[in-house]
Amino acid sequence: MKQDERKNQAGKVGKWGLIVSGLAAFGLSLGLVWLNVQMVNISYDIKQLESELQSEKTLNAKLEVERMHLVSDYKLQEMASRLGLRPPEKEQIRRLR
Amino acid sequence: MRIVLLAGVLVLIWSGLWVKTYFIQVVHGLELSEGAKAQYWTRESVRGLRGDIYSSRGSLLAKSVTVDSVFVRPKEIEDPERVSRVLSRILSTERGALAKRLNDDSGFVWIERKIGDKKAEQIRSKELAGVYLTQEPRRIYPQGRLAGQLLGFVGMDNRGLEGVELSFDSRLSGGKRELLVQRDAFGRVLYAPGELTEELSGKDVVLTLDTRIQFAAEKAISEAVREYGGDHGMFLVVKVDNGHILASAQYPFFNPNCFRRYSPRLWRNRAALDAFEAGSSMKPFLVASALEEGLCEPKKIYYCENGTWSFKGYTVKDTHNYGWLPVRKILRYSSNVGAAKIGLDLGAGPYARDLRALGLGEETSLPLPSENKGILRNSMQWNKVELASASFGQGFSQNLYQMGRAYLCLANKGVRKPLTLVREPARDKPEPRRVYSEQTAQKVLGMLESVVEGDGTGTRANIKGVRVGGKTGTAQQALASGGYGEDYLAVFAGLMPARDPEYLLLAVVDSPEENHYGGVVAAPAVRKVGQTLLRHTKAFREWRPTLTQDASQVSRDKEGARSFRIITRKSGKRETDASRVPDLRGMPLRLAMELLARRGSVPAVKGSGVVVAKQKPDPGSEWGEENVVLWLGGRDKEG
Repeated sequence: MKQDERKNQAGKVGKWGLIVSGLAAFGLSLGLVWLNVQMVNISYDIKQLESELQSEKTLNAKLEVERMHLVSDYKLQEMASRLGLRPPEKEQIRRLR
Repeated sequence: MRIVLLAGVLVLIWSGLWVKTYFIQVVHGLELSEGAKAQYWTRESVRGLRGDIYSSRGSLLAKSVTVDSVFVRPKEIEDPERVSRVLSRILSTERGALAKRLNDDSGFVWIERKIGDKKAEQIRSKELAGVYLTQEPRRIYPQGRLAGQLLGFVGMDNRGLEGVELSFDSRLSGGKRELLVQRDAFGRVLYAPGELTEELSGKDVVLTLDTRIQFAAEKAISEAVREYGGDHGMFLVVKVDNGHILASAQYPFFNPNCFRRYSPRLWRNRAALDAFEAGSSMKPFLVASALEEGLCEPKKIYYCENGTWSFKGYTVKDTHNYGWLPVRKILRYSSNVGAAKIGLDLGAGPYARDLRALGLGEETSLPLPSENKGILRNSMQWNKVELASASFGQGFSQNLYQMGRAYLCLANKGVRKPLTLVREPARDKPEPRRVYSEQTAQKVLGMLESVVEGDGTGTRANIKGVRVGGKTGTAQQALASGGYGEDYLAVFAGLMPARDPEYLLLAVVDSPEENHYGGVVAAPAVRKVGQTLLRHTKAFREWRPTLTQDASQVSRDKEGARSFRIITRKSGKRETDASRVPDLRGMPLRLAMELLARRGSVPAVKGSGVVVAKQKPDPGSEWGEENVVLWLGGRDKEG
């Protein structure tokens, strides 16, 4: 009698163990899927941010090139001659000391 | 019975699934796994951008930026008519040729590489099927034609093809790395290279060039070439103490941004690639060797044969009929007869030895491709006539940098130092070595000063207030067929200040037509660049008094030439009341202007001179709306 009870109890424990293990495996699987989804989403975000950063850097480089072009001696000379500016004559120079 | 049937069906389905699973996982598992990997993983190559090139003062000379290129997949184009119309309008290309390319059989056709942002945006906005934009690096030279030949350029594949771009290609070139990256079901790559791109970028190069001096040199040499109808010209500016090349100019110009528009002849950096006979501008080295050997002194006299000397069947001529001249005047008037006689006294051995010690016939080690090391034959092969002509700089040749290095030795009081073009990466420099004694170099520098003074041949290089030394050269150009032709090379080598040079300036104009004398054609270019150097460099800043000094007195030597340094007299502190007009009378104009400027007032200045004689409003009066007027008195001693 006692042996049957013990068997039943062991069977119940085994059944519950199986159910708990199954649920745990299911939960872990869901967790894994969630992690993968998160990883992919974060990858997209990183990729997006990296692209934006790269675009900003590219724009920055282009603006730097443009600035250096605008302040280059040849450009300034061209603009000066367009605006009618020229080196001063000797009598137009006043030395400050 | 129904239950048994249902169980049977389920068992069958279940068994089928297990069988299928077995086939997928076990039988075809490896193959399918590889296929999945191929779908989810791809190889992507990441390439770093090419490094930048900067001037010594941090001006950007070359930079790579990412731009768009247009390509098409002809099979994906739905409306070729519209695509050709739109692209030809945006890209300004011929429509017929474009339409032909759109009908190409291949799956990929480039339409235009490395286009501007504006055009790329226009194409993008049209959303043309089969037309794609991809990004590529493009090399841009923001200073345009400044130092074009020296910088060189890169090809479509971003590899250096000429100049510094070629010499430093391995340093400047960005690295490349292939990566295995994951992609999603749409083929989008999930990996972002980020910092890896920076890591793979090429390293920068910093040159010793100063863009302001480079610009002045280009302007001066272009004016000289155009004014005298020359074929081309070169200009070199070197800082004497460290041998840094501040400018290496060339005319006609070349813009590396659009190198294909220029003839390859204009790509060449002539300063390194062309060797020339420099004529009389090499006479100082002859005199230095003669002085070093103890053969002569500046006062020793030679008979210059009244300008024409027949020697072993050849005639040596001077521009004027000189009789007896001391050595210093042989240099001052650039007498060929006198130089030939000094050379014959000296002999080929010591002269050629010293020329070789100066670095002639030997590459300068500047990082420039295909340098021409010139021709300096073994002195044993020189006959008397060749020695005579070598004495006035004919019969041996050098490139502009070699000539600069030789003059740098004189300027450094007889110590040979290397020229430097690149600050970063720094290179090991050879140890300086003495070629002439300091006394010899000083004597020659003194003689060179006289060339630019009084009745010397180089007076057009004179800058008021600064002692300039120099030597003119008017060299006959050798013909490829042998002998000399009718073309000349006008040369001027300038040293500033003359006795203790800080800057070396070399100007060369090839085949001038209006006039071919170095003192007329090239010397003014040296003067112009010298004036710019004074304006921009420490020498000029030292020349000006600072704002904390209220008076200055410019030191003058016997000849009245103004030296760089000033003698200043410090004044006591002036009592000032900000609410009232200060007493500006007796004050140097500069200080008065400074005081007024601090208050935000710009005075009207009347009269001439440098000291304030009278002012309005009166000192001590309340500040009002009235404009400040300063009347000057006292003579400007500098004239």
